[in-house]
Amino acid sequence: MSGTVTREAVSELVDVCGAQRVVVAPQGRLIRAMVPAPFPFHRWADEAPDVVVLPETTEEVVAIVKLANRLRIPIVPRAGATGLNDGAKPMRGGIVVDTKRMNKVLEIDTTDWTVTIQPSINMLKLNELLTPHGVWYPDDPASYPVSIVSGRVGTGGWSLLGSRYGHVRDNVISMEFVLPTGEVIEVGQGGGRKIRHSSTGYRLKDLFLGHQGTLGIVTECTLELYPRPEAEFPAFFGYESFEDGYRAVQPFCRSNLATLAGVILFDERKVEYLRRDDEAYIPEPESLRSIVAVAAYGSEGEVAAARDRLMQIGADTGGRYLGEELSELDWASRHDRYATPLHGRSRGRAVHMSWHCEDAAITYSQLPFVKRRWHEIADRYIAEHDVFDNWGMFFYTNNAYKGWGDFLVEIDIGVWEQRFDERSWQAWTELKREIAQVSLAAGGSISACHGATREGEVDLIPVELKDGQFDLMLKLKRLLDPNNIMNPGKYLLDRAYEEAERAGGAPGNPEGVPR
Amino acid sequence: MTRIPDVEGSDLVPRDPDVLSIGDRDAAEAAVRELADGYEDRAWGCMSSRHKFCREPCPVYQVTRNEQHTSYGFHATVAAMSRGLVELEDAYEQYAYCTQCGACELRCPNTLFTGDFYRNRTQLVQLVKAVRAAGVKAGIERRSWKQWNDDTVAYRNEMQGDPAEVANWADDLDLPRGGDTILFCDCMAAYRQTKVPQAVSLLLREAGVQFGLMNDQWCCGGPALEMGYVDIYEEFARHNLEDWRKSGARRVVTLDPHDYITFVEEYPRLFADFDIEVLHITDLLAEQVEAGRLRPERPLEVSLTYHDPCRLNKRRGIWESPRKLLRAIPGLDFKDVDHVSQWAMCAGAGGGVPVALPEVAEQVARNRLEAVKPLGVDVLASACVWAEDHLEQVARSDGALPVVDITVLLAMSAGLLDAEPWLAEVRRRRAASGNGGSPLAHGERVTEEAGP
Amino acid sequence: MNQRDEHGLPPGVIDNDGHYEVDPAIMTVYPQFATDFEVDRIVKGRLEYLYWVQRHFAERVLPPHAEEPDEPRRAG
Repeated sequence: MSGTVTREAVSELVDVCGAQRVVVAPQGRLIRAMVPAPFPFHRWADEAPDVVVLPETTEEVVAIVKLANRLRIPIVPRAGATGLNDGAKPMRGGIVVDTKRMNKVLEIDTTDWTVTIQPSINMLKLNELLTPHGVWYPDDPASYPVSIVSGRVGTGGWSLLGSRYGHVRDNVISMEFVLPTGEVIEVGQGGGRKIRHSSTGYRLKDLFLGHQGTLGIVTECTLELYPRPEAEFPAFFGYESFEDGYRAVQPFCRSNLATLAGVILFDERKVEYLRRDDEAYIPEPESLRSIVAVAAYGSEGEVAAARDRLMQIGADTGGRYLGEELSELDWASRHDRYATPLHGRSRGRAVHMSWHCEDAAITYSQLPFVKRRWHEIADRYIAEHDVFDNWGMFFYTNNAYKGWGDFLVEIDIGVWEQRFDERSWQAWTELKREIAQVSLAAGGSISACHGATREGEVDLIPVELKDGQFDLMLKLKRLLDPNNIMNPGKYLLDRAYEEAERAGGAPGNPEGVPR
Repeated sequence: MTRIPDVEGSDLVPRDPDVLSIGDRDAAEAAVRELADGYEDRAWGCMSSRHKFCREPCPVYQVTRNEQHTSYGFHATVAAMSRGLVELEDAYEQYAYCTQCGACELRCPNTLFTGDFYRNRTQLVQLVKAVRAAGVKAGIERRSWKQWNDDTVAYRNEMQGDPAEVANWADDLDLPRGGDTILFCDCMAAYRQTKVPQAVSLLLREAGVQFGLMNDQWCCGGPALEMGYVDIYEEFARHNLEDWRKSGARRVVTLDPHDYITFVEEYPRLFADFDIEVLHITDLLAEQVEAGRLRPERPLEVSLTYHDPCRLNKRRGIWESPRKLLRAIPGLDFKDVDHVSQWAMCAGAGGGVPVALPEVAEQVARNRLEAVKPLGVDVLASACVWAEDHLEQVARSDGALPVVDITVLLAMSAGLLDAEPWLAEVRRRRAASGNGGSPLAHGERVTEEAGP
Repeated sequence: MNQRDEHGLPPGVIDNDGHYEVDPAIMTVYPQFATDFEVDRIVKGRLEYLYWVQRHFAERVLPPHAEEPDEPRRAG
């Protein structure tokens, strides 16, 4: 079904973008084989795409998509490549469309409060440009200093401040989108580019927020603006057991505070992991086993009131406020500090480990069950393999504009990729699958925000999306991408074409209508 | 593992014609083995994370938006070479895309958040130098760099200036040679930006600081090392150290950050017995001002902002003394941009980039000048003659914002240089340009480039 | 779990004159090389960066208690 890149294809790419923006150098291909998620370096050569192209305009993207369609060559859109799933990882070689040159700010509208951009700009850079206008785009993932808007569209990402400001789905107002056949559509809430809420037609925008690059390439976005926060208040509270921390989370989440941006629970294994270097910062007593971190943003009066309520809840739940220095600086380092390679430990030695970050969506009542099972699984694999490590768990508020609801549940598995071989890679895949199975057993979702395209968990997609949902996904994929060229191999979406083939159809003849 | 095969049609994307190779595969493989020995593990230290925080602060990446031109890009290629998937001849061209500003090293969470605990930080600058040097050793180099360094050897300086005239800038100053403290003048300052060493000499003399010039100043050798020409660097370094020793020098004062970083970081690596104290001029002058030995009293009524030279701010943490000097000058409307924001900025003059990739270097400078526009200032000040010269050249074709070294400002304010002609020029340009851009009005629709 | 040695430190951590560091004995795979100058530079850089992050997100960070009317306002 997928073709290989031929001389003809390279020639056409050079015609579209010029030789300067077509990359054939081996190092340019190898680096774009991966994202931060654990990667089979022992098979690095097999994973490299064939060629990379760096378009600058929608027209160039259209031309690239059209030629890929005509020549049946897989294309994989790549923005920041800082996603923690394998959305941007090419499964079948082909052309990587690296969109990072499309980073212009097109319009800052200080009347209707929107910003329109070519979408491959980093959010921190975007906000530096917005600050002089007293506004900002409040999408704050852990990768904020490097993350790119178009990638956030591809993953349908989650923000650390989502309980206050919403997540990506809430703050992308409309998009210009190139479909896998090369057609360009505008998709938003209804027809007006700056309309946030409409009831005209189907809610199509959501389809393209979290598609993992399988339904096309975003080439322009209009985004929501918020007033820049007057004040921030972060607070870290220590508890003597995970159970105490877990119980404390509810009152924080239900505190009825509009400025509450998030509540984060650290389990005892996470506290232990942080102690690997915490002594370099602010030593804490052994009795500290769990932490609840909260943060509030907004106008100064509101945040001051929220501060008082949050401090009271901390005290009422038996939490010990860990001090201004720790609270403020640990919160400010939320993007950088929690997963650094040298914190990896293999049999007592410090080794450089990569980081797998699980991200299930789980209801509050099921958190202890998932925690217990995940640690049991992780520890079992660690006992058998030198290449894994357990960096503990986080539990975050997961829903837009509110502190209650489900939780983003994270376990961080250190992975010594440099030592991967096929056996340990298979073990890694199995570990991933066992973890995802627990999420489903708990009535949850495999992925709150990263996506679930990875080896190991992807087999469980039809299990999670049962009762017709996965079938509908297949139908939509086949409809929009008749030749299966857009990031093929993700999400078991090949099945959409296998079924059509069995029915006598083929790519390009999706209904199996006899010729 | 072997080099991954090229895709059909790869020849349609021409290689960089500036790169020459004698095609000695054995030498290239040996060079890669040596690189892997020193850097493979460090490459994995970076690659294990690949969270890419180094990317947005990188001034070259900001221009090319090509992730090969980032710290993790450079580390990834070393990891790939160590596994035989890429050859040095493929990789070499990539490593020109680095001004060695140090932003990535500083910003990397491995450095900032655990570097002190593990005594182990990202060392991208050394890595880039090492790969460039590995290329040269294996007979792979850039035509442009080869020419540049051949000229530097021939002239003993980077300006193709007559070596006999290296101290001509000091002709009217009656400065001694040798002594306890040597003022190292820098090639660009000696031959082109001569106001700077003149200002520095007048200031030091006014403050009562004794100093002398070298008997025979050669280029510090730092740029040669940055471009991978180790032997040339070592020859120059040996010459300079010998000259200092002959003078009885115990202290060297630098007036340019490129020399400063070379003497402070590289010379001690080369010379086990290096015991010369190296002091940068901004620190020394700030001391004099604080002690009242220098009194900047003449007001300079201009608005300005300050560009932190990379090798002072990012590489050595020197950002306070230049600001102390500027704040000591009366009449200045100093619109500061904090030194952490400036981690993401660079003038583009370092690391051999203007020589190999002039368009990239120009765009880096343009980005720096774009960042100044919204401040609406008359003047851009800095403390690096290479940055100033490069920015001046680029500014000339784009609004001609005056660029000045802070030592010249200080000397004017201390009454040691005539301020009036310079002030007149600034006033003239201010009137001609309409005083630059201003923050956007409420309700206006604007189109802006995503800049640094 | 929360192990401490006789000096009260977690496994693999040593006290280098009040500055806690990893014990070189567990760094057997990767060498340590940062000089004291670099260590100081890293610590300074980190604090400067964290204050910069605070200012990037909000005008002010509030303290945990209500401020007295004449208490100096903390900058962000």
